Amino acid sequence: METLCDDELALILKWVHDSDDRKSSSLVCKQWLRVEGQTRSSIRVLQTYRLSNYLPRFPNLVTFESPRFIANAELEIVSKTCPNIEILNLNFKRTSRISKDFDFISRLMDVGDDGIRKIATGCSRLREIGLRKRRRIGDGGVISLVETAMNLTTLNLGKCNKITDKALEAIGSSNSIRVLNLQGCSLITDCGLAFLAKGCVSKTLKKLVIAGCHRITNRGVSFLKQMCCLEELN
Amino acid sequence: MSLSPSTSKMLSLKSSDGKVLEVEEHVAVLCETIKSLVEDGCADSPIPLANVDGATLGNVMEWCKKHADQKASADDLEDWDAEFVERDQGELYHLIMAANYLNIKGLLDLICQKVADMIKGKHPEKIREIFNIENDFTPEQQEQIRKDNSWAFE
Repeated sequence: METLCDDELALILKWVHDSDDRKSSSLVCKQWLRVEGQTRSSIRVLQTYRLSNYLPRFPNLVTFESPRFIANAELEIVSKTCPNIEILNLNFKRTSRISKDFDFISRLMDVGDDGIRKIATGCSRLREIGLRKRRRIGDGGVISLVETAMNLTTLNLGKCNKITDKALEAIGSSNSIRVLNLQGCSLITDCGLAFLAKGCVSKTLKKLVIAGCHRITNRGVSFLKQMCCLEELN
Repeated sequence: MSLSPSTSKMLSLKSSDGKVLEVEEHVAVLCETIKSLVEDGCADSPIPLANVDGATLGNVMEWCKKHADQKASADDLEDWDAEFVERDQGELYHLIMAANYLNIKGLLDLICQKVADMIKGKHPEKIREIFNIENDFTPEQQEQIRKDNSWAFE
């Protein structure tokens, strides 16, 4: 029987979406492994060990997701291997299987500003970014993201409690962000909200979450009245 | 450019194995490749189609004829398509190559979806068997991919 060329196989695999089916396809032969990798648009990484070995199979990812610890160096691999990423979901979820000691050590090596800077420079098409509970990320990382990701519409910084008003000043100058989650960012103050209310972002922001931001007072919330697009406040 | 059935003239198409097929122009122009030739005035007679054999060309034109028929309802076409794709892998492969070369998006999507459905829910061994593919991995390579696939990501 005749064999299909890569282009034709890619046209077929475009219709295969189920994760298990894609994994089976990748194990058929070398051509299928190559084409499955090239046509895959999203991945959810559960084990970053060996990331540099398997990620190059997927150069055209649009969505990269990982709820586990991920180091700066690993995010650098992501930024170099997958420049077309538009959705980066690193919202952290603890697994019950991890011991307390391992958790403590891993947390020290988890992604920080350096990793975020690499992503910001390598992936220029980012639209949605989730960094919930990535507690090592500070203002520097957020500032570089906001300054380089021109299409950024959704930014989740919930429980990133190193973030201060300085990051909000940068976010204030964005003219694309529509959804901003700052839940439990305990260092931000009324001054930070003033940056949002006075900056360009006041013309685009539709949804803002500031629940659990204990330093914010009624005075800060009153600044938000200036934001013409705001539809939802939590 | 208006190409209504009543004014449509005939085009000659010549397959890779030398067979010549006479097809109404309004049917043949469902192939974007042929449509461009006609529009540019480059439609020699017969138009040589070096990548499509006679049997496959016949099947392709049968599909185009049905889909050029303005009396056919959407339901009717769906049922007709479902029957049209009931073929062996060899024919489906030839149809994919022809639809890709002739640039017929509707037919290409139809056949590719059909072949994709044959992959769904199958183990790699079964897929190799269905498509008659040789496993060219070493056991070590295969084991490593299997490990990465099962632990590392979804």
